[in-house]
Amino acid sequence: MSIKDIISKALVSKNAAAGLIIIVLFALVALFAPILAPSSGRDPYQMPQGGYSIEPQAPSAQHYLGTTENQYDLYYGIVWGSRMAFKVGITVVFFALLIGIIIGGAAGFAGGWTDEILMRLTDIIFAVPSMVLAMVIAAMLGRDLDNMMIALTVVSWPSYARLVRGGVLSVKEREFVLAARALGASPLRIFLKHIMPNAIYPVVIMASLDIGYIVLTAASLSFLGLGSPVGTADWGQLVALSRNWILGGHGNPFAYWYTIAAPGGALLLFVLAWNLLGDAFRDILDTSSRKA
Amino acid sequence: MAELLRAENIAKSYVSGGAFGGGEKIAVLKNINFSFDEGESFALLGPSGCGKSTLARLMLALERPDSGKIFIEGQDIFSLKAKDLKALRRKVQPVFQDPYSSLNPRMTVSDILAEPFIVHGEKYRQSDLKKLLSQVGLGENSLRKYPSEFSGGQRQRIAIARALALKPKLIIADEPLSSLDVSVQAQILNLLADIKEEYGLSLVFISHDLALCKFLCSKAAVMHKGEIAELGKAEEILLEPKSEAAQTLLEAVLPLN
Amino acid sequence: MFRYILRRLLMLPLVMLGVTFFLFFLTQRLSPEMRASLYIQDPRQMDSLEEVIEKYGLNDPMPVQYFRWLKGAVKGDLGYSESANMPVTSAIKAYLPATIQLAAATIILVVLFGVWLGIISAKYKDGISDNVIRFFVLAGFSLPIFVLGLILLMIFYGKLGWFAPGEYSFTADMIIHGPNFKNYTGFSLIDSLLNLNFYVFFDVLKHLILPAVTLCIGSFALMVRVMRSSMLEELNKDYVRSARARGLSEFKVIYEHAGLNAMIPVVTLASIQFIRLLGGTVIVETVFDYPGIGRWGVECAQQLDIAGVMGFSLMVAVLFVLGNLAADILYTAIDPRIRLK
Repeated sequence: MSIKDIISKALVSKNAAAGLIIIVLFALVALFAPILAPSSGRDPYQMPQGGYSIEPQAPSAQHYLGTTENQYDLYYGIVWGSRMAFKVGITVVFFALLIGIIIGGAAGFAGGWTDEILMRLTDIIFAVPSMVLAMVIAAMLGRDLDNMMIALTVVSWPSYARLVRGGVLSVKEREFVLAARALGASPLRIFLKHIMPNAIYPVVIMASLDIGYIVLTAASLSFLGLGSPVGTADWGQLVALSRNWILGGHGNPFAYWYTIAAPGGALLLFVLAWNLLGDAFRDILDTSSRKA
Repeated sequence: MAELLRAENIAKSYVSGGAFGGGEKIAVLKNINFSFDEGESFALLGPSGCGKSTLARLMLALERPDSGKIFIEGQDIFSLKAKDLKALRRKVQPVFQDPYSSLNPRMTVSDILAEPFIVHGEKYRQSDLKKLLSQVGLGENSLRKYPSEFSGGQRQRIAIARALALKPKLIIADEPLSSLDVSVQAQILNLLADIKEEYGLSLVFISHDLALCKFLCSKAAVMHKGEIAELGKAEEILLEPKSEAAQTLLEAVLPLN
Repeated sequence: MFRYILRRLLMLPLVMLGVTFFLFFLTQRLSPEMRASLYIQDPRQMDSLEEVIEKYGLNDPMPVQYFRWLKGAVKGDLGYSESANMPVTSAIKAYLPATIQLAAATIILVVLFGVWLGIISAKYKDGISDNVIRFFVLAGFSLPIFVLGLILLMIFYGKLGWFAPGEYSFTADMIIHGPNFKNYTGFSLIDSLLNLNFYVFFDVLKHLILPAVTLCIGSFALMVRVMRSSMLEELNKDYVRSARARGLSEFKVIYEHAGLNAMIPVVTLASIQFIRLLGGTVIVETVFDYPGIGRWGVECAQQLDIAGVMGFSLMVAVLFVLGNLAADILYTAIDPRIRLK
């Protein structure tokens, strides 16, 4: 099945189409963040603080979505948080995929001891739940955006490596590879021209659909205070800032509802969209691999 | 005529089962001996699982035997240096059984046909590729297309064109018809016969269908459970099969004819 | 099969060695001074920094320090957890029961709701209920667990006051640590029953419900999906048709005949999820301030409590790997169609 077939088939499902629309909307927000929420500081990912009061302020003409603890503007945080989500998701998927392809490809193609050693390496990463491992790595490296992305990459690459390895092993035995060998093509040429292009496409699709999951894990790390630095426009961090206010005040338990509704809603919508899309693709990739 | 290929005492076995040892050794080929001359074609017949395809891979030097030798134009193909082996590969080209698996789905026909030239560092022009296509009966507008846009028979033609690119002396066709429709089978069979004539090349034609081989091959071997059960002229085997294996094979096709 | 299990078991120490070596390597990124300060109880003693580095060999080459840690670990000495204020092994003993209790409560909920919704979904395949259930299951799966937890706290603690964070209330705490309460198992739920103290029992239960529901919503998507497809498969089998033909009531057909057979994959999935939960309670325990192993792990990470981080990760890894192996074995034992290589 070609990529075009897979994509057109996946988008027939209403859920997948809805997911795609939401993702496109987020992408537009991320793209036009400088227009939607102009920044004054040097680092636009750093949320501006509109005062020194701790108490959140309700939505108003000045702050469309209100402010959260320490007077961070929620609207600004959500808009730039979208850009942050894509930045983190795409960066992590890209590097994890790159490492996964290199290691999984080498393991599958070389076989023997190379394969054994590389796969035991993935076992080591798989031995600890990814959230726990990411948390420990991020903590040890220090609270910083790059370190958080490194932690997420370290826990993500092994599953891609395994998928790529499986793909390489099955493509390796196909007759066009034998034909290329019979032509006298070099192992490098066979690997790059014949095996990899056919082994990695499903993995690339699966990995890109993981963006939602990665953003969720990143938000969890930020929520625990092990992710982005203080004041970063990051949905996870905004949720963390709402923690002290969920019990409300002034006799109203829901007085500060917007502090969690805004970032929590953005995060939910983003992750849901990717899951809707991912579900449809996974169904198709599953059945097509079963038929093969 | 000079001898083109000779197989001497070929034996090959695989280990089945667990990766951690304890697997059983299964003999796939035992004591295989045959030879044929330049320009002569050889049919390798037998039911599936008799070791034909393994033998094909050995003749293509894609695998090594446990023991025994194969000579092509007098050269022992398993003791060649990398450079000489690559030179030999130009002379021996395969056509595989499944045309859906033998063409890389992510390469255009143009890329597929150009690959032999690129691998061997030879210059080629678009006209060379077009000529190859016309020889197998395909138009030049096929060049930009991907394998998925063709039928099984058309793909097999492309695979044959690829095999012809380097003007080989020997084509090893491993069940080239068995995954095609019956109507298409005749076309491809005729194509192989034409090409054999035109290029003056030899053909190893591997099949489980005794009747098909007589169009192409003068010599034939019938294989049974990894051994050669009968070796001789194709016509003779077809008319008066001596071995039980050959008789069984013949019975299997007769009702169809 | 036997060889496969043996191989995995033999691999276990090797994998653990790899995991701990990797983590220990990470801890070495912190300067000896930083690592030394973890051994000092009182900041006023900071002038003895050099002594501490000397005493614990914090300047030695990394492999030497690793083997020192490993030697201790083999003997059951995992160091002293600053964040818990007790030895790491005692911390594990103190916090693990609460987490197991939470994971067990969650799995019960996951199985109950997963099976129920899975059956409905299968019964009305592609109907409205099916689509609604599938959508909400996916939404629950997408809902960040910490957002869900906070919202539930907002409603059920802030507004309604039904449930509260923590493992038990202050009063229950006094009773549990009082003279008349015997600690038989370390599981507060079981101990309270053994002590026939129902006040504590219901108090603990009340505190358990909210985090368990949160975890359940976050993880029962898979259960519904598995139950649904398993149920659909059973409903297509001959015995179901003949049961219907014999005139058995639809309720009996679905719940007694097909339902029971469709439960097989559910049992295995539940065992797998239970293991996953042991490592996955990190966030929920933090949100609900629930004193389990996960919250302790987060505190260790936040406070750079190295002995704690190492001990916590090692324990989680051992549980995780053994649990996954057990689930694999269970899977093949229950479903002979799946054969392991």
